[in-house]
Amino acid sequence: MDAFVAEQRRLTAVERFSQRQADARAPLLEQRYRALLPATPPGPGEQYAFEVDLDQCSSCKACVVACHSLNGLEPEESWREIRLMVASRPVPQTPRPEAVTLAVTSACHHCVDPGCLKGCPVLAYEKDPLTGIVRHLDDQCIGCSYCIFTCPYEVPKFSESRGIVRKCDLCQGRLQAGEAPACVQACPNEAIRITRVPVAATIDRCRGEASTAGHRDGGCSLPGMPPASITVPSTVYRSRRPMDGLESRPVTGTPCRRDAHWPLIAMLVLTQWGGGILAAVALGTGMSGRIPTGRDAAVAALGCLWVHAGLIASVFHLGQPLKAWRIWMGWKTSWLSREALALGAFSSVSLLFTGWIAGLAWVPAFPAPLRGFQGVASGLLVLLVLTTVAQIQVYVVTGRAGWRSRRTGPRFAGTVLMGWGVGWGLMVGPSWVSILALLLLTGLSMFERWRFFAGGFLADVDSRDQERP
Amino acid sequence: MNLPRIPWRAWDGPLTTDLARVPGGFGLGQVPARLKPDATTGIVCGYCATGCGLTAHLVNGEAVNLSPDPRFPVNQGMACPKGWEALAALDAPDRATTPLLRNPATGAMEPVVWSKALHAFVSRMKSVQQNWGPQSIAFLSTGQICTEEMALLGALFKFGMRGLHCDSNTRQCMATAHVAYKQSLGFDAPPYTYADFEESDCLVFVGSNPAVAHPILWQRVLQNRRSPEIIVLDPRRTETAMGATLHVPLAPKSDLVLLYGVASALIRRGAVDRAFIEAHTRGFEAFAAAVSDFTPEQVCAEAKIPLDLFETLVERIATRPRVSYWWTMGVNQGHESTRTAQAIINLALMTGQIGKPGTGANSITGQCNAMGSRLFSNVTNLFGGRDFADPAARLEVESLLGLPAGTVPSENSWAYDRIVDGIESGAIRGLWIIATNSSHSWIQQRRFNELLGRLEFLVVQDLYTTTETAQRADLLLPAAGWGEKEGTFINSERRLGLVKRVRRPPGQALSDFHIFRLIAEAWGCADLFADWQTPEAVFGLLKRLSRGRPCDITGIDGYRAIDALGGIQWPFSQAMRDHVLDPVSDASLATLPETRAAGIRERRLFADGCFPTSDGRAVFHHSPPTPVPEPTDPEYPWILLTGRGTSSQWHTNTRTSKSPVLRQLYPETCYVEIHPDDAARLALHEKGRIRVRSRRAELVADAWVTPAVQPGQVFIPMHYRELNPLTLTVVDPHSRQPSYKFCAVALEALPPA
Repeated sequence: MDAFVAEQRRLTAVERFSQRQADARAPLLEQRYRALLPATPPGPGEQYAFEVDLDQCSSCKACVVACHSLNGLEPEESWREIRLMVASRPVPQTPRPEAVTLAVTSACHHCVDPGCLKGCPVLAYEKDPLTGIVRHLDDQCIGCSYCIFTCPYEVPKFSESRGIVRKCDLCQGRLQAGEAPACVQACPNEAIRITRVPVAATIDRCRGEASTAGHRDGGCSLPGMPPASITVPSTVYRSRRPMDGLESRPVTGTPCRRDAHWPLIAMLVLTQWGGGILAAVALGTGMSGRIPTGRDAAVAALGCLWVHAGLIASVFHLGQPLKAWRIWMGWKTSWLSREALALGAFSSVSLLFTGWIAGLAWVPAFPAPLRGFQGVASGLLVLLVLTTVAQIQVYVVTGRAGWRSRRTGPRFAGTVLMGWGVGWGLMVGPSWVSILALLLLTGLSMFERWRFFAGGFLADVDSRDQERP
Repeated sequence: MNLPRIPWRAWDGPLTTDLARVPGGFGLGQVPARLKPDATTGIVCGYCATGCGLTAHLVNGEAVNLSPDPRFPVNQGMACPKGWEALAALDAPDRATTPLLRNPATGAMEPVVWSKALHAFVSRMKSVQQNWGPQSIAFLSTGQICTEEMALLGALFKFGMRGLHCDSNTRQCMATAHVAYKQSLGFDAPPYTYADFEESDCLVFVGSNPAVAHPILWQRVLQNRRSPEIIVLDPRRTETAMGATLHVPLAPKSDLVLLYGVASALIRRGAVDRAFIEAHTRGFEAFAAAVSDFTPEQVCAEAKIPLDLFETLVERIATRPRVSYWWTMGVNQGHESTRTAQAIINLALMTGQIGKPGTGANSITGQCNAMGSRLFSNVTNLFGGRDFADPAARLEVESLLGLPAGTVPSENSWAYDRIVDGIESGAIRGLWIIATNSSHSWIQQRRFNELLGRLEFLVVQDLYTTTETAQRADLLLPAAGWGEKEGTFINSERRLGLVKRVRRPPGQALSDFHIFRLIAEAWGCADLFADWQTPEAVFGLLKRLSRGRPCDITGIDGYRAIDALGGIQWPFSQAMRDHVLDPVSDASLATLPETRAAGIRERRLFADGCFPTSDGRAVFHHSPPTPVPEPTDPEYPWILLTGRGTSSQWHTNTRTSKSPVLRQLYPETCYVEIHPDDAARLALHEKGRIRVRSRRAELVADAWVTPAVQPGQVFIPMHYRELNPLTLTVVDPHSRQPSYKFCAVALEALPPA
């Protein structure tokens, strides 16, 4: 018995069988995929793109698994995914059967105007000027996940174990070596190929006058997909079949649940409430020229506490908190970067303001002049406005229907105004009632913000609601 | 051009390196640097009977990754998701790592050492036999283990343990094809080679959805450069039907009527090959007379298709030069499945469309080694496709295997359904289930599981402790899986492929081969199996048993030859080997130069029109169609169809559910496909759920509204355990294969969960 167990554990395939491919240098599949790659790299004004022939796809999904295997990804990770398009109505009987279900394979669309890149606060994305490949710098990433929001297709995927997002790089190294990307290699029916697309024409197709042109002309606008105008995706889907009446469905039948992003929710709610309270104090004291009282100082401290609790909470949202210092780097394009800068400044000024007000209220013969205090108070108000605008923009620029400006603006600004109202109540009204109101309303806001987040996630939005915001 | 480098951006580091790809060597192209192999080896896939060749990427002999083998003639470098993820099934945390024995006092399964497990097996099985007779023990086996293992099991049980009744889950998939071929052609011999997919002008798929069930065979269809007609006979508009040039959405189980109608129409058109019929067949006139009543009008009324569609179907079959017919479970799992399969064979015979490139009446097999089971499992047939009832055959086998006279039983075993009935009647008291999940997959599941409770001793031999069947066991024997052991599979086109040991099984798990040898030892019959020491030694015995049979494999040197040639189709006799091998320059089959290896790579049967029947003629078999046993009625007005859900699911999902990446490719919970008109009729909510009720049980599942099914029909994939309590015990009278494709159900809309 022991001999059997021992024998069972001996691996002998290498000794016993010949190594037919031991000397093979070139990939054995090269013959087969050569025609699926462009003969030369993209020229000026061109970039690489995936081209998918939906009529060739038999929905076997090998591309998804090959991406996982050939790129050595995590057990559940693949950079390709399948959605189904299903006819919702009976399809007329014709001799040549029309499709009632189509599988749509998609990976990163290597957009001309990538939302991930623009949104990234730390410059962790690079669009290669020669190939157009949108590459993610894994060691630069701080794991803020904002690119998942700014990509209309939610292409980057967060890796819990690594604390960063990862995404398709079009198998850049393989292309450089003349090899096909994993998905192209693996498709039994040659439905996925790599092409060179003209950038200007792609922009025109997605954003120009005739941007309604659909899949028949080769585009990235299929039923249930976000509008191509947002990021100008380069992928070209082709089909001779009519797509009318098809609706998009996840292949698993049910949309996957998203994380609630509680640290983000806490950050938004607490900084907005705290900001509102501080604004109330600033307006009621510094701006009106009133000498602050001890109660004013206590209220300001409470506001300051709220703001900084929110800031601390936001760190827990990051997968790589130690790299958070990089967050300013993307200020030129990223509203998240701008939000962080504005919040940072607001945080400093709010501390200064609170210290000052405490000094004025409690320290006899506080040396700082009231005039300077007024300056700080007005600065605080300006920064609060900037922060709130940045916070609103962070969501509005994602182009998602659930986060369009008329949904985001009133919510965020409204929260600040409510904070101002409660702050005013704390300064002049019955204090216990106001504190209770603050705690209750902060909790309610968290719940409201949770709903707001869910409304922005692609999978949870009805496909009919995906028109341009 | 150098990119402008901003120094504070981290272009490299541990997280970047994590995803680095490097040239893998061995013709692989770039591979993940973390998983760069130091050797590779070929291994044939262990899921379906397509029999794809995979390349195992080895580090220190152990597989760290897999990719499809570009040189393997079957799949040419492609694989479906299951093949790509085949290793994931081995890494599961619920693997059985030690034998488990149920403690009668507590009812819990407790780990025991092998010696104790073997003692329990032998003493309790023997005690059942002593009390209730030698035939009161039975086994249910599988099409998923190696041929050598099946052979040892069949020999051990029938020759050593003196049991009789045994069957395997191939009864659920291929029994019909087996019986149909055997009766019609004289031997269970699918005549085709996969190149026929590419060389046909008209491919007729009957009850077959290769786009989903056999994606790599569908790849071969799409590689056909002859602009073929692709005709699909299927009640559902499957992925295959969508890729067809003609879809005939016939009413469920009107297939036999429709096929007889096509035969009748072809005869009336004169589109038959008289010369072939006269030279090579028997019984055509009686068949022609029997189908003459099947008028197009009557057939179309029964199949519920328009007359012009029927005429188009006949026209295309009649006029295209090379016509091939392909069938799968839609045919095999019916109440009159053998005659339906034979109706397909009859079409090929009467038009002479067999034995030539791009033709044939071709059964596409289900499990990776159903074909091995059909030839060498010693279950339904004596080794090598012989009959137990034939005294000469018994003597021959006894002498070839050196067995004492009278060792081979003269009686046939009961089929699966009769073994189940035998448990009910008390004739079967001890049951051994090997590598199959009967508690999930057998029809009328609730009855089956109740009957398991009546057994005195239930042994389950499996990879996992968690299958529905394993959880009911009194004794669980931990088995090594595909990739952890050695042996051969035989695929749909009769190709022998090799499975190798590229992974270590967990804990004390042993290959089925080793377990059978240990049981032989413990039972006290090991001396009968002195020549059965290793899988390759058993392969030598199988060669010996095949000599002179239609499945002659005496020309295959051994495992190295199979490995080197990318599999070898049977027959490959000593004479064929001598013909292809140059005695001067060729040392062995394994080193055959490519030019001559190519000549034997794709071979089909019956090119000479000679069939392995007593008179060398193929036989027309036919019977009048019979009504379905459980037609719809006002109380149960819908037809329930079952079948494969997606290409990422396999059977009862015991293995495919182990891969997180596969799990993302199919719905986790049971769902029902229902037509939009029916959904409207039921006032079904958009994300609603449905209760499906048959006379036997009911289930609740998510609604998947799609016009892929017709009104009045619903479809539920077979992978969900909720399904089979609903199906009913109906088997084909010839093959005794269960009918999974038709039962009457009632529906009720439920609000979303």
